[in-house]
Amino acid sequence: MTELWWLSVEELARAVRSGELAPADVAGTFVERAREVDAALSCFVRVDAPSADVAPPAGPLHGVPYAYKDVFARDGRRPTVGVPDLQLPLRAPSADVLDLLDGAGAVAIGALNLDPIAYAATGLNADVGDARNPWNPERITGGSSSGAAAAVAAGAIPFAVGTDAGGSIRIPAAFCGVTGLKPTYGAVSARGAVPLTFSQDTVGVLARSARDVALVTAVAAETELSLEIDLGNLRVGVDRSFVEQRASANVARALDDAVAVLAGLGATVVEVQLDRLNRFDVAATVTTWAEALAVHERTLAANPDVYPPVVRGRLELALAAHGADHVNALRLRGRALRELLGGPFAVADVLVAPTTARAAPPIASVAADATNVSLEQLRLNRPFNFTGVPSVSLPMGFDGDGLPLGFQLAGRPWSEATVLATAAAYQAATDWDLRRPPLFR
Amino acid sequence: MSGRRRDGAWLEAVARSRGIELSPARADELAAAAEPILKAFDELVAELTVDDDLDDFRRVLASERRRA
Repeated sequence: MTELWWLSVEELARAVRSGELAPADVAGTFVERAREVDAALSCFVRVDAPSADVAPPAGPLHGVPYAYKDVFARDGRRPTVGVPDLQLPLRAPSADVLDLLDGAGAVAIGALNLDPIAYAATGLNADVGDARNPWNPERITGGSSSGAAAAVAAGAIPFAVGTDAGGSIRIPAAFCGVTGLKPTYGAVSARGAVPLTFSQDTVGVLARSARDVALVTAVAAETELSLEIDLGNLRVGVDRSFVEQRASANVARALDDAVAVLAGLGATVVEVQLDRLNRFDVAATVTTWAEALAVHERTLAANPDVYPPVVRGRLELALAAHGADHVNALRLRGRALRELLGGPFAVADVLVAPTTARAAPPIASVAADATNVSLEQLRLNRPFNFTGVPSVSLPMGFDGDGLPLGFQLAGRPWSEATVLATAAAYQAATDWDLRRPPLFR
Repeated sequence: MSGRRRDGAWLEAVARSRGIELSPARADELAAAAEPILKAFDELVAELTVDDDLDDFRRVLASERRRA
């Protein structure tokens, strides 16, 4: 029999709805599991046992436990943002996305670890504890939604809510072997979340399958997402030279195999050029500098030591961006999106690209080179943040060390249904999303 | 170095004007790290025309939403 914690969101909700499982029993089992997993992986900032006296409302997520990256306000409680001594004021007592999930019957059981202020992609956090990869705890999880990906991969929660300003959902999803969606900019409300970069932050969902991500995203985005798709009508764009220049041979081979699976399902593979898109990466950097500094400048001036040295250094670097640079970066955004739509998306419905350049590196090696490890992954992801388009990362295999590899399917704005349906079709034809980390089976 | 002055002394002055203290050595280091990014950014900005406005991104997103 499948352990409760490996049931899908869909299965859990169905079992609770039918009365087969009681919400309090489900929550209790996951709280216990979350504590066990957290002891090994440092994926939670806090595990909360929900009150057994309060029944969750009936809805599509009735009785399904979840946790959220600790950037969201909830019930008047301010998030740590991964820096326990940082006190940033928030106007909203609870984040919109958490209210929507709670209203659909989901049950929050805790707040999840992240890179400090969500400004890195490694999962390293000296104050809270470095998040550890369930497939090998000596490896990084990626970040910044580090705890979210690790907790979902290890079966501590069936889904998590994260944020992604440059790959922060997709990178840890790939390193930990789960599925994570960065939706279209603005598709899910970010109100009540501590921002990193207002113009690029997106709120999204991580789960083990695209079907589960779709079920939860439909609630979070207050929309309907049909996963019906005829891959015979789908054009899949790939830029192989872009991949070869930015990813390891292992990753490039696994991506070729993934593209072959999609072709085998009837999709037409077309060549596209992504290089022009990548030149906007510096505009994404300038945007992030200016907007992160806008959030943190007062604290940086008054109490700079509250930030870990690497984060403090990034915020100080942001001083180099002038106000006019920020305006010009935002002016470039429309141009970047128009180029993407008029170029690659003129000939393809979805684009494929690796999510990370390689499998998760060892924590020990990353600690000495965190900035470059982050940048190596960000440059594969950030173009889709700057242009605001949806992109889902999903598992596509393993490297020689048994570590997961992931790829992205990106689509036109508001095409969450298309990218998730394509991902679901891929997962129906493969079993990468069904593999479980040996340490947590 | 591009045509704009972006050395350590400049960054130190910017920081001080915002109430943030940087040592001269630290300011030099940060200015050197920022320069190649800002230089590439300046080249990109040079492609803009005056009617590339701030709202264009949201305009395209809205148009795509109607199309979806």
